[in-house]
Amino acid sequence: MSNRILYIDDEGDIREVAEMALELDSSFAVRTCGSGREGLAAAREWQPDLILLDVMMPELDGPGVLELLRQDPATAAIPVVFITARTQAHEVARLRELGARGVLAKPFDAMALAGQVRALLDG
Amino acid sequence: MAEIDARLAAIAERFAAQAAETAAEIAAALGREDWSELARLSHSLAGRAGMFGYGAIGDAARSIEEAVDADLADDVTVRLTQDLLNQMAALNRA
Repeated sequence: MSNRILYIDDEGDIREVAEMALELDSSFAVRTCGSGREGLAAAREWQPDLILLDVMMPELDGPGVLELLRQDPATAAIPVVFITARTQAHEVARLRELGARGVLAKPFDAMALAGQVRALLDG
Repeated sequence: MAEIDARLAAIAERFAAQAAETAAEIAAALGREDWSELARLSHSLAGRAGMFGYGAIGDAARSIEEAVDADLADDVTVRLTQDLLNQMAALNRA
């Protein structure tokens, strides 16, 4: 059975890398979005099994997206994993307290990303 | 794996080719003393540089973002930014 992974990040180059990295796991179906608003619409329509969400984005940042996802019954239960360059313990703890299933460091290892996401899905 | 390696290399080459333009944007933000724009550009650069094998540039960019966020003295941010621009200029010469 395939898993739907939605990757939301305003950086086009990084979205491109993430998409190819996630597709190394042939059981993943991957979509990417370049903004929080676009990601919210995709989450409602596509119902992913997991959302990878950049923290710092213009207009609507990652925590803002998570809050809106949780307010919408159609997306409230979708697990969210933050992707962030700020991996200090207090920042990771803050993101976890918001309700994230996990926090992955950015930049990520393209060869390891699919395995990390698999572990978070199965965890 | 060969295909993804080639695609990653192509994206990294594109990043390097855009370095001069990115540096110009950062220098312009510094010139205007537009600290929030400087932090935004540095944040973007930090994420991309680290991803594409330019870890030192990524670290330098991250230092600028953190300096702005911590509201450090302007001269500290200016020095960090000049260090970054020097590294990016070296990248362009390579």
